[in-house]
Amino acid sequence: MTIPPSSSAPSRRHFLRGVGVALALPWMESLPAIAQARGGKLAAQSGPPLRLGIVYFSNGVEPAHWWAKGSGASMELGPGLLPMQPHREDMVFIRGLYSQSALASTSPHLGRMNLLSGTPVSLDPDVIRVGTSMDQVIAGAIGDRTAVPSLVLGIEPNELRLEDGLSMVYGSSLSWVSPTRPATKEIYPARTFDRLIGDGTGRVIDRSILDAVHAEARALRPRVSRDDHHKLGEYFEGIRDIEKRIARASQQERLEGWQPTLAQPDMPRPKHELPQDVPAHMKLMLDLMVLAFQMDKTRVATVMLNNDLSQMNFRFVEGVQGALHLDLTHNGRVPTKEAMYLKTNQFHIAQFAYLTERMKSISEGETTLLDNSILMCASSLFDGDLHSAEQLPILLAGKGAGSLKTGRILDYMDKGDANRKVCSLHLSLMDRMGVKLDGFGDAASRLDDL
Amino acid sequence: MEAKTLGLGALLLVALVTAISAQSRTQPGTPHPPPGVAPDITTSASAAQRPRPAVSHRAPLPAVPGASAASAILSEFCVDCHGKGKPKGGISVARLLDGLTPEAIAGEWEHWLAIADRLETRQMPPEDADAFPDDGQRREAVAFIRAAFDQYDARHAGEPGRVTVRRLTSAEYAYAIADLTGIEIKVGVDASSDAVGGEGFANFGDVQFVQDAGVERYLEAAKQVADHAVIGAGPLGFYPAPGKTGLELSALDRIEQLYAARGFRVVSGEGGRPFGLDRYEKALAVAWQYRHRVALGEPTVSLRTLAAREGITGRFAEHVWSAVMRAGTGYPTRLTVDRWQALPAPGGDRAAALARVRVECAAIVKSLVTWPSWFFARGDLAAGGQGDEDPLVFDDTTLSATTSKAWVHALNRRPGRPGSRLPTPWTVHLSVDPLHGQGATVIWRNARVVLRTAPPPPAANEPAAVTRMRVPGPIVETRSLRSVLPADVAARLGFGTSPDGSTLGPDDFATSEGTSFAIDVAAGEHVAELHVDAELGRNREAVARVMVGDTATGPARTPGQRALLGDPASAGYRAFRAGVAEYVSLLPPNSHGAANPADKDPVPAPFDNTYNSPEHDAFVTSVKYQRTDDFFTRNVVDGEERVRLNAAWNDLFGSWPYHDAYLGMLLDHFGVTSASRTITAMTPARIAALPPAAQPLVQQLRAHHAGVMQALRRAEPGQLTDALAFASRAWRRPLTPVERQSLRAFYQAARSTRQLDHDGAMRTLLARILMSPAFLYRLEMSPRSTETRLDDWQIASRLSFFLWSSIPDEPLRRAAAAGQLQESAAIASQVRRMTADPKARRLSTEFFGQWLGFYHFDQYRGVDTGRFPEFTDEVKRAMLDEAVSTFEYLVRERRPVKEILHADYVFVNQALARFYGLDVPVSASGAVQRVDGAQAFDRGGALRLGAVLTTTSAPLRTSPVKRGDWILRRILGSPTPPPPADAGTLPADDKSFEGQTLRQRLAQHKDRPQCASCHLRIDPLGFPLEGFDAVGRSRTAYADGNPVDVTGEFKGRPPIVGVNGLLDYLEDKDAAVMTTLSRKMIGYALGRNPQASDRRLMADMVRAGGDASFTDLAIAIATSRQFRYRTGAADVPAATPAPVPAPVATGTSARAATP
Repeated sequence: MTIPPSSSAPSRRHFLRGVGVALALPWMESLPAIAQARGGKLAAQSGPPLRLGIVYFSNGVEPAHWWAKGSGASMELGPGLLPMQPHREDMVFIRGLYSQSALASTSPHLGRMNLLSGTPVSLDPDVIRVGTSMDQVIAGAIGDRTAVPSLVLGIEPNELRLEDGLSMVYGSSLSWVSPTRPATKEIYPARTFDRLIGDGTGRVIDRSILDAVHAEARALRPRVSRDDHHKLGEYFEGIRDIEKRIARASQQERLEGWQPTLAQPDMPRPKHELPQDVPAHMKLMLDLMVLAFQMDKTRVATVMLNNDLSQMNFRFVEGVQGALHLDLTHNGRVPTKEAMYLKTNQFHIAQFAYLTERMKSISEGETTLLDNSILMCASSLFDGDLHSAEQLPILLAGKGAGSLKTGRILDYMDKGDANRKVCSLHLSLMDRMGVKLDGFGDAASRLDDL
Repeated sequence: MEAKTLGLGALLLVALVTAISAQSRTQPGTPHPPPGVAPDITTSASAAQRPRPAVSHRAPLPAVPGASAASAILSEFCVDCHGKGKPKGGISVARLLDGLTPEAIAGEWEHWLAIADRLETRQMPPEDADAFPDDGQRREAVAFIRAAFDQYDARHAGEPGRVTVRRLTSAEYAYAIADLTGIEIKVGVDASSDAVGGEGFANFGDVQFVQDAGVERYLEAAKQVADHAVIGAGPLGFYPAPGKTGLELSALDRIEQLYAARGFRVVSGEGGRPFGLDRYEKALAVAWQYRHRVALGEPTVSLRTLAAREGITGRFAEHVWSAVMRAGTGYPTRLTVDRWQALPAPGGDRAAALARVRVECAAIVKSLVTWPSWFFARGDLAAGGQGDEDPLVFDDTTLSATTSKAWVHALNRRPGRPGSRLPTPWTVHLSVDPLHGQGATVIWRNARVVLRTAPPPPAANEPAAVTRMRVPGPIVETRSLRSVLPADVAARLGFGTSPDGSTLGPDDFATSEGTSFAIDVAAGEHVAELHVDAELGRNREAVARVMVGDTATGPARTPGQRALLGDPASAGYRAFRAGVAEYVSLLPPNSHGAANPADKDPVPAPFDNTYNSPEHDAFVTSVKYQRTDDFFTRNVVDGEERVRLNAAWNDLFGSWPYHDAYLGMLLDHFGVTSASRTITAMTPARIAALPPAAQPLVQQLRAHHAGVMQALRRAEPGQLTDALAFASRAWRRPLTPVERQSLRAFYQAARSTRQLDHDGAMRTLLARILMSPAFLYRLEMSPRSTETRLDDWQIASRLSFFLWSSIPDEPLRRAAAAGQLQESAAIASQVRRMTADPKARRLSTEFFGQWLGFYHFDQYRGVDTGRFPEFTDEVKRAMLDEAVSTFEYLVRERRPVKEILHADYVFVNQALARFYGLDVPVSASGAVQRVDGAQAFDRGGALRLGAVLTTTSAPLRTSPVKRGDWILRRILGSPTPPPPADAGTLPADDKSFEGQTLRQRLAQHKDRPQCASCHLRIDPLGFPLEGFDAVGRSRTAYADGNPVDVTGEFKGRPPIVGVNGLLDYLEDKDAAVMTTLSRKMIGYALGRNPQASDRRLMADMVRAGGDASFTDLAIAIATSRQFRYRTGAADVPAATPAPVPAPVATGTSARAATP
């Protein structure tokens, strides 16, 4: 590999080659084309851009409570979905999507943490590998149009242990920038805020430090092994990303004609430490996601409400006692515990409903922020207790800037396995976000009817 | 030889594949080589199918003898279940049989060893198999596997293998910063940047990912650390407070530390404490020893040598020596000098003589330091007491010599207590102590007894302060002293005549020494006073201390009791004054005041020194610091210490606008309002325009300022050099000339191009050093492609990160610099030193914590505190401390490693002992303490650690499955595969098993074949721990009252009962336990999974057995080839299957476009 030179030469290609991405992403070949498109077509764009927000919750759902009937205002929702009741006309209930590699994995939890890539989770303890997740593919393609390429948020820190001999990095990471590297998940609200709001001006000194360190890359190359050089590439790449961000921030003019509705944050900088209270923490992270979208600081964001195999103690929900994974998901079918499990499901959906509500309340001209977004809410398991993955619980919300018809139920369960791949959904969503691939993961076709 | 039959073609093929794998590894997923790298190997589709090759840089040996026969046996009996499709247990014997070279076998060593083991122990084929190999076949297959390993070992044992470069974990980062700076700085690099891999440790390069967000955190942290740098007139340092405040506080700290270490002081200022006066005693004894060095048998000994023996500075010994040897000293120095000179010479018994001399020296010092209190008649001030807060000052004001003094001495009451009355007769003492000159005579004129009306009695509830202020009323009666004394006493006093011939009145008398008399007057309710005017007699050269008191010696607290009678204009007084000055400069009773004076301390001229005066207070609050340590600087410290002291003072003065504040005080004092009020604005012309009295003071201040600024500037190059030394420590090796040059250039650029001052440029440089991959990554340079011996610095680094999770310390760096770390013996001795060091506690936190699962237990949130309210944060912290302290003790005290499980001690504090319900005496309330004999009360060892028992439980109940799994996985090293996805689950709460006991629920495992094969191995190991509840406390019954059952039953084995049964069981499995420990240690130390070439090392460690200490095992690793060598890049084939190209995006015509 080559460590990119410190000059400001544009290069997502260097970026991806540096990480050793095992895919030939063709859009990389067309960087000049993107620049051209930007100069021509993009400058003419006057409407708000499309945003994609993904909310993940772990440990699946109780199937008996996860259903929807009818359409539009008369849509009926199962108990697990109740918090979405006010947003029925803005959502799409999708049934029956699945990932074959997840279903086939012998690891009931971590083996199914490939929701956004559909590629198999490596069960070799020596090799960390999943697949580049679709949000990061999008960030790689359009991330340089905004101050922050993508937001990757979470509530719980990475778990420092092995689960059945596999690193819990799988359980703690939804987004992967390359098949072998998870995106850094930010759990501190204050840091997230700074990342969004820090404008990079006045960072002359930082820049001088980064430049100097960057210059070390060249000197190191002949002195370390190629493997090490490869690993160090991640670091130098991070440095370059910051340098680029600083450079970008000091360019005042926007590349596109449209102006965000919010120029300055409308919320105070969060406190420095982690909120002790889980619901407050989640609300803050979701607010930051909305802020990022509203200020057009990023157009792709994911948030993990909990890690897979979460020990999150749900005492904060009225009438619930015990930890999410061990006590509530695997509840032994004891009725009182089942009831609590339902409440955790509802709690997760309520977070999604809150996000939907917030975005609906923000107008962008004639439309709302929600109208110009696609939100996705999903878990890596269906029946949490059985670790089942024959289908995935997935909800969409938002009209996708006119590209998504909502108030619908899409049922793919009996459309045949070839036509119900979750990667087909990803292809469809990536299309809308401006990344057109012929195939992704195990899918080569878009989802019908979406 | 079969080798020959394989032929050249096969060898070439193997070499080709190896090379392809290497290529694939280093260019993962890149379908085309990068520009500039010629594709010298054509990719082959078969590369992806190959089993993992083992490490080798030579062409592998051909197949092992017996391969075909063994292959036939294994094919016949194993492949049915362990085929290539969905092999049982995830082991595909069929795939393994594809590669039968020793290297291929070693590449899958754990599977092959498992096969050999299952065959030997007849666990495989399983009971329900269709056909079984006979004994001969079993032997043959096993022999083949063993022979393959022997062949492999002969060529490859000890090979270092591939180690991915490791980034510092968040813990290592924090430790390294602490070791680099000497202070704890909480920075934002936290565990959210960590992940674990390999053997379960965060120090495993393959799971250490970085992205720009992480780099931002490093940048933030680096700047934060740099902010704590102390950049002043001294060497580069670090201080807990950042920035200029840090400079100021650190300077104060450094000054105070030097004072405390070297100085001495009696009470000075509010809250002052006496200390260090024994140094005088030692110095006097040193001087005596030096004087009699010949007689004491050390004719050539130096003063400094003797001083070092006594623990005082050489400079101080020299000074005291010169003082006591000084000829012609005056009063009061003479008192000390004479007494020291009178010390006897040593006789035959030198030791006894020295002991006697020490006693006398102590007495000399006592008189030396109590003289001021006698002289000033001022309480216990100078005696080292704590009662008097007024500082000790010798100046004309405090001496206040005068030729006459009028006395009013209370006779029948205590001053300040107007209501009190003393019965007659009243004894009056007049003391006269001639201090200078011969024949001092004191004339007492007009001595009379005066009766006055009493002050009004105190009102009810009157404050004492008000009462004290009540003074007597008008004079009622005056009688001459002469008239009230008995005739014989009056005659003794000699009224009317003076021995020196002065003219006296009838009621005057004169004395040249002290005298006393009793007065008996009927005063009734009146206040009686003696009024007398003391006057220096005819000899005006004399100086005498005079007191009127009701005791002969004083001192008392009454102010104004003492007078120094002398004529300030006389030569005699001047000589006396010089004597006092000499005393203060040669043998001062206190060496200095505090650097930041208290509100009672004196302020320098020209400011008003009156306590509580506005100017005094303004000085104390606005100027803050005052340097009064002239004696200390000149006579106590010298050399490097004096340099440090002066540097600290310059830092203190330079850390804030001290000179501006001082200037402001001066200008205010002299009523100057117009002038500019900064010191730099004080040009000579402006100074000349100031009032004449102010000019020299401002000039002096300006010179002082210039001196401080110059000192700060002069320190700059030295600090830049210090920063390079800092870089060398941070980067764990000497810098190359290019690096030195580049860091210097960076600093220069920061100053010139970016216009930073020295302070700013230094901080930027430090941040830049901490951002280097040389700090953040454990780089091991290996330019060559073959296996290379690590250099001394790399060894030092590996040792310190292995044992301390941090950078090497000075001794280790010295050993590396001296090239000593190539020898096993030297490495072993470093390991011994390092594992005994307090820093080895980190090994317990990091290694044992991650291995046994109590890492970050203080943040564990898996307990339902609603159910267990006693499980407080305090208990949680104590449990972590218990676990960490247990293994710290085990490591540092070189306890046998079998005590990891079998320790007979527990570490608790009061809170934890109470929580566990232990009936043992524990005094520690904070950190835990060791309690021996713990097995007697069912504690001790890893199995009974509160943190382990808690993390292996569910929030509301225990989990025999989790605990059994913990033992299988973490102790025995033989984990079972994960449960099938649709495994049934247990209820959360031990109250709600629907009438079944937990055991009954788990018994269902046996009835379900898909559960049985694992749970029959797991559950029996968990049940014996049921005697501990979900938060680690002993119990005998469940929450529902049913008794706990602590029996674990394996088929065909006596049951395991309770912890002791479990410990016995594990003792029998000693080899497995040792193997696990070895695996974990090797994985942790090397940053990779154990591989086939580690088998010999592991075998050595296992053989060392449970009686070996952790240190012994660490030495085995640290002196091994794999620890001391590194494999270069090119000869490392892929340790993983070659990545399949483009598994994700398959399109070629996709493009980014706007929606």
